[in-house]
Amino acid sequence: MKAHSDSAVRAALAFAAAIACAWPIFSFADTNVDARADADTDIEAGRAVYMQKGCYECHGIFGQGSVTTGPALAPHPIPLSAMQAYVRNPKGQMPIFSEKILSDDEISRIHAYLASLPPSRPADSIALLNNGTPSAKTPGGSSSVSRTSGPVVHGASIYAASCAACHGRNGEGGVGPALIGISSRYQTADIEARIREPSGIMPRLFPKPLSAEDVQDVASYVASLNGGTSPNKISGD
Amino acid sequence: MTGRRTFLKDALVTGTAAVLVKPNASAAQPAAAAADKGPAVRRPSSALAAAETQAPALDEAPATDAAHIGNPGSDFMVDLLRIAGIDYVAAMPGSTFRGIHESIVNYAGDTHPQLIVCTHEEASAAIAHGYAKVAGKPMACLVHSTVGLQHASMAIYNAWCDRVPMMVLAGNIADAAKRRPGVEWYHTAQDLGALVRDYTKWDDYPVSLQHYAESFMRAYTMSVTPPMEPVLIVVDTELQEQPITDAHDIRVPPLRVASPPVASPDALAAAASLMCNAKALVIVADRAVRTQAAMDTLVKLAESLNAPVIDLLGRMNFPTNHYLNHTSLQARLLEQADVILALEVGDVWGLTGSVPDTIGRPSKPRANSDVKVISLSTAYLYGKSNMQDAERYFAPTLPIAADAQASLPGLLQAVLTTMTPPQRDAAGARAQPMRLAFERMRNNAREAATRAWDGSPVSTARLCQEVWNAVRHEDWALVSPPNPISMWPQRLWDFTKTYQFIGSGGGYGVGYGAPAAVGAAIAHRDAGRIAINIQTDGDLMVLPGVLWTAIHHGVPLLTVMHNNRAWHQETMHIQRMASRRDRHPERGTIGTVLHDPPIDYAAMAKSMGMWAEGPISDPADLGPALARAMEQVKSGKPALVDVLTQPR
Repeated sequence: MKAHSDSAVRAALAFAAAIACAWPIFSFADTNVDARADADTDIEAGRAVYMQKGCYECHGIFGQGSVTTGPALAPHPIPLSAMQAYVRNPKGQMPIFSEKILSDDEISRIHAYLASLPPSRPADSIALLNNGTPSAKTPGGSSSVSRTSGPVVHGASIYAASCAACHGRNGEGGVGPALIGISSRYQTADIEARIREPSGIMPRLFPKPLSAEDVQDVASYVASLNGGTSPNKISGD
Repeated sequence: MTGRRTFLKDALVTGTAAVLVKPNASAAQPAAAAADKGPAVRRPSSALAAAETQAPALDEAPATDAAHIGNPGSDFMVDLLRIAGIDYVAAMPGSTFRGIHESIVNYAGDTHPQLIVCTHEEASAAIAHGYAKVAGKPMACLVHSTVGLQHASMAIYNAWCDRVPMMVLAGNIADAAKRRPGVEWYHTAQDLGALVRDYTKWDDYPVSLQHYAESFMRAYTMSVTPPMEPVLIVVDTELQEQPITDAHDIRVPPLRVASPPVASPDALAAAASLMCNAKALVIVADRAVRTQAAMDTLVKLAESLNAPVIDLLGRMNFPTNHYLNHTSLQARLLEQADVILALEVGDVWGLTGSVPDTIGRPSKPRANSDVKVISLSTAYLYGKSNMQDAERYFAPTLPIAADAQASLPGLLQAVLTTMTPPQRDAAGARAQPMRLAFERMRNNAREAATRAWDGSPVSTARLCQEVWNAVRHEDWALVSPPNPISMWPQRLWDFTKTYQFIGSGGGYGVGYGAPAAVGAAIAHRDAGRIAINIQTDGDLMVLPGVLWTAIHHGVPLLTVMHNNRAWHQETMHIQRMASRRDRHPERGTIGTVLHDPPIDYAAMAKSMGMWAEGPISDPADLGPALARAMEQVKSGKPALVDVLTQPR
């Protein structure tokens, strides 16, 4: 068995770096990771090492893990000392990484990258994880976007899950017509009626999955869309 | 003298009530639901269907001169396809079956059966595979002797491992004196069936039309009798192309499908006794359920004992929103079980042990050594030795050689009559803990899905929930396996009907996914449903021509690319080898990734005439793109959305 020559190893490392660079640029929306990047080179270096050494393959590019390949590492990674100990002596099916192929310094950088990743939003705040009815009390947890937060806020959450795909995230239109300024042409009751009795390709959402209260609230939200000055613009999902 | 017409009528009358057709699927659906969905593949009107299923005239006009052929043998072969209720024949053209090809398009008018035009024989067989799992009956695929059958062989093997019926018809030229010099010798085998005999249930090479009729009926019946498997008929070119010389002497056996094997009352009573006396019973289902009635019976069985169910997803066995579906808790459940009921589980040994991918591969237990295992399976009834799909040998406490679906009603009845009042009370007391465990399991999945929710490339959880949001108000069905996407659909979506998931792919031969999705979507289209395929990029690159087949036949199929730009499973394997050998894990991507140059799947689909968008890397753009794609799909056309995704 031949050992790799130095030039071959350098070529391999260059290739690995190229792979990491050629990968789709990964980023978190709505986070300030990029803004911190210049000030924290360890994070950038850690992300590069995380990709080059193949950690992402089983644990995901953001350390989110998978039930089929490996556990989540982020947000909130285990302490650095514990991570180093585990990598050197893993349990189960995780392959071992000796100091020869992954130095302690590289593990520290990887840890810095994982620790920099922002915490996830609660599932209750993500409409797509609530079947479009975030007001419904979900199994094992309570809704943080319930009707008690106000009908328009509640309606905005329903809109994000059930309407935004066709009418645009902020009512600007898409497959379905634009809704911005609709209150100048229709009463809220008319909007409610349209949701209850849709025409064309618009799906029927009432009485399931939307309740009568849900329809009222999402109609109120739609009526509030005014083209950019609304305080209720959706920033999530 | 009884003529061919009479025999065919008799066959139709006695045989077309095939019992394997799923309720609510395919032929069981109103014709109106399927009609006019696609411009290229049409279901006949009821009147036309009635006319077409009448036996054709025996005495077609003979040739008027020596320069023509009348009443060819291949017309008779098409009659047999009609008798068997085979609606489609998937084929890439090949000269050794030109006779039957011409009969389908002219004699049958390319309707019942209709050709599904394919760009590769592996696609033909995989389309037939996917179709059968949804329609509940076989599709035929025509392949071109040595070259075509070898192309098809991988997909036939997948179907074999998946216990799926399929009628493979392969052209061949037996008479050496009739072969033209050159190519036709390459395209002939002395024993063509030998190429796939290790993974077909039966094959034959008929030498007369009488022989063909009998072999066809035997092959069909064997294929659809559990354990269902592909079968092969070699169709000789001379038999196809020469006139029927002995028409009035042909005797066509009626099509009579065998009843599936049902467990004996004694065996079911013994199983019920073990189950009712268990303190920690676990039900595991794999390729068990074929119909909604069977799913409903399995639900009643689980509810009667409040026993948790692990769905291994060889088929869609158990509703994902039912409080007894504890699939994600299987490690702990198997560890604590005192009795396991295994229903058509392909790897029974794997319920009690595992072989981790570590150095030395030591076997490790998953269950208590004294766990009692009831294995109800047709695997005990049939098998072959070369291909090792039988999995590791395991001797259950109570092996029962029978079809699980057919035996479920009897097992339910045996449990209900066996249970004592204290056992009923104990089962009732388990209900609330089971509900709580289910709710925790589902909620944990929701919370896990939030990780990397807004990240780019798109997380597989986000991908799946955007798709779910786009289709959940439709009559939908998922026609792709969930393993590459971390099982998110089964963890988060509400699957309540058995047709809503196609099940896993059988032999795990890459290239199955895309064509099987097209085949399944044809059956769903005929039933008035929309099919969703979350498609891995490495798989699509094996048989990308199926995109053309989907658009050519107007199949309403939403394809959403899980484009991680890799054969990612292999990336992990190479990286594992490198780490284990203590050298350069960073080189694990060499030979296993697909991003230099990146592949533009939307452009690929568009080049074949399909509506497509992408690549999409911002998750916020995905929902609107899916809505636009669904507009196409709801109008009866396929659409593709390419999404750059996380690895898993």
